[in-house]
Amino acid sequence: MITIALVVLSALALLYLIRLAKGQAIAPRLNDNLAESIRFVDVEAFRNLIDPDEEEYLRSKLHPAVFRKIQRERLRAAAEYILCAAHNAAVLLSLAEAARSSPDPEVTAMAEKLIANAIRLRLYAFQAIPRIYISMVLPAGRPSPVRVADRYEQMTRQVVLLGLQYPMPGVSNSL
Amino acid sequence: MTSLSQVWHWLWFTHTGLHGLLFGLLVWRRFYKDFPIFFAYTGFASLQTAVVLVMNYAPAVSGQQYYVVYVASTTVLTALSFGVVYELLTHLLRDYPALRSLGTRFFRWAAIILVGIALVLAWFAPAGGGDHLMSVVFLLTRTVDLLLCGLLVLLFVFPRYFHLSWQNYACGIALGLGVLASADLAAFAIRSQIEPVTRNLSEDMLDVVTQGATLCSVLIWTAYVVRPQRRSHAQVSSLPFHDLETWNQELERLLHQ
Repeated sequence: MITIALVVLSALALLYLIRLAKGQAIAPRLNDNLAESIRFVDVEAFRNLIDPDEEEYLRSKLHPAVFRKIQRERLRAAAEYILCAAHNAAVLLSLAEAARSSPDPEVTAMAEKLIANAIRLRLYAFQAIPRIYISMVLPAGRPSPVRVADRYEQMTRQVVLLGLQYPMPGVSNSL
Repeated sequence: MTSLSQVWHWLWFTHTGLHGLLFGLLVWRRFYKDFPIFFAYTGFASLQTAVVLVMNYAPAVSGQQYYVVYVASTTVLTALSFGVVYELLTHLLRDYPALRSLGTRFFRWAAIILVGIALVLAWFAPAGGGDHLMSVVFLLTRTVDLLLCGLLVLLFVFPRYFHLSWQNYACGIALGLGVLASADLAAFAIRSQIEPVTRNLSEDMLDVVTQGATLCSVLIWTAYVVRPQRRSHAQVSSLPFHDLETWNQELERLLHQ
């Protein structure tokens, strides 16, 4: 039984490696449609969704059953926001990777900062998403993805600065 | 000699020759500068496969001598393959300082967990077969291949999540090693259970798989080495406008907002 499982696992690993390597080999090209892949993320709305004071206010004003339902919806929306921000970070990472090879040291430095922030955002998202889902199941636990919002704002500022060097129509406006 | 036996022997001859060719290409491309462990791995693999091939046909060499050399050289090669994984990880994280600490910790824990899984599997599915020494060797090989395969999959998954770009060469090295490790894992998982005292059809089939996988991985490495080096990330298609004066003005304006 274990032998069969190992054979199946190795076959799956092989297929997965080939698929991933194929994805790595085919480089996406940056084009004018880059802005279309950036999703709108309203940082203020996200802050509101994860604001503990707001949560306390709703808890005091609503019936417990209604509050739990609304709170679950709020957390679900917060998770969506984080996923969008993480997606944007991935797109911006591609942009920054291309800009990193620029001969201009200022653009290169800006791209390096953007890469670092985009990576951190994806890392925070990776940590925050499970915590949000746990909070949806166990309302006693509180997610603290405020850092994600801070990081996103910081990253957005850097994109605006980078956009001045590498004009990408619509990218900064989409954030 | 059955036709399957002929097939795996021809595969063996072919990848032995190609190993030498690949090593020559690596010397020519000066791989010892960027990938010293992979360079050592390929050099040692070229030597090992050639020596074992010669020993297989030399009448003066006994079966015991052959297996001692085979086991000893496979141990060194296995150690080098883990070194290659470490080298690939170092290469990947080199350009991303923000990920260095996390990446190192992640792979350390992944290795510990994979070792645990491999040991549990070795405990619950011990090797069968008539030859005790070779059964133990096959079981150890299976355990090591499981660890190697898991690390290689994670080596692809980790940068994939963070949307990091890989050097072309690094990607090829990882893919070749992954093909080799996954095929070996399947073959040695079966072999550790059915290893007979005398050769039979299933043995020949497994040899076709392992020799074929080795040939495939050498071909993958050769193809990647021959291809020009490039990063697998997007390129800016048109040159952007540069205006330092405007840049400074906009920066000032932004900072004062």
